[in-house]
Amino acid sequence: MSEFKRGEELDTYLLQVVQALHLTVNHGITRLNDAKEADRALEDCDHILAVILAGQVSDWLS
Amino acid sequence: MFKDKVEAKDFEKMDPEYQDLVRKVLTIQSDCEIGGPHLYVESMLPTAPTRLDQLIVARTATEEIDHFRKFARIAGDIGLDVSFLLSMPNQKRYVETFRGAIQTWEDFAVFGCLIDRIGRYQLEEFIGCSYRPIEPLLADIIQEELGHIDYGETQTRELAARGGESKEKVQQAINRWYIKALDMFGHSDSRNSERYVYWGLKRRSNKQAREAYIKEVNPLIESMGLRVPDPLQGRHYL
Repeated sequence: MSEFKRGEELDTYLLQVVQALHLTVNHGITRLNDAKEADRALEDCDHILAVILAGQVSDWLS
Repeated sequence: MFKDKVEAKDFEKMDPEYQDLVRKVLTIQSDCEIGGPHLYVESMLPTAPTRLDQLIVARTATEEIDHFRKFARIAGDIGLDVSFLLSMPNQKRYVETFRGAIQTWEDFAVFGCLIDRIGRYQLEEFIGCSYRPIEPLLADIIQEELGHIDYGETQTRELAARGGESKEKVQQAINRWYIKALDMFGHSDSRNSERYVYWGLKRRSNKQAREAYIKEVNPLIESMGLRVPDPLQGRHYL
């Protein structure tokens, strides 16, 4: 059976990204009373999501 | 009617039609998962009404990316590379619903209420599916989609309950997304739809699934004091 060669690498990369995003969102939600901390979490989410939605897979896996 | 269960290792032994349908369904499902974040992250992450709403937008996108990852993984196991979907322009998405952009909070709310609900329908079609690698993914993904639907429904209801301009904006969003939602089920007389059922990849025809959806959402829309749009106006797939 022919497997997509970089499928496992992509899976590992995206799983790490998803875990980082969940940690960042949860951090922001638990710091909602601290506007500065919540905003920092949002900035981090914005940055990570922008990278993923740009979809430059070859850059991620190089 | 095909009743067996097919493992990834046996995929290439299957009838070419079965292989084509599995490849197609994995590609379209992956496209739908990643298509959502492409519609709303850029516009809604900075503009959602509160910080909590902004973080929920981020969490929703995160979960959809994870759903994409899971389907991309099982696609990769049969040699199907769907990574191009990550960077595909919205205008080229397989499903018309994902070809635009969400610009208002009302649209984001209604998208969750109506379109993520279609996501749930699509996923529920795979319960008991003949292609075995799909089944283990379903419980967690459906659970997360239920969270998106609940959030969208709550937001939609609250925005409608404010009345006046807010309610009118929600109605306009319902008018836009309801028609797209009905089209997402595809043609009622689709040959592919019949073949998916024949091969045990889906449980219901397009027509049956759409009818069930209408039965569920029409009373929901009315319960919010909103009007159900004409189900035929502006439709592409009847």
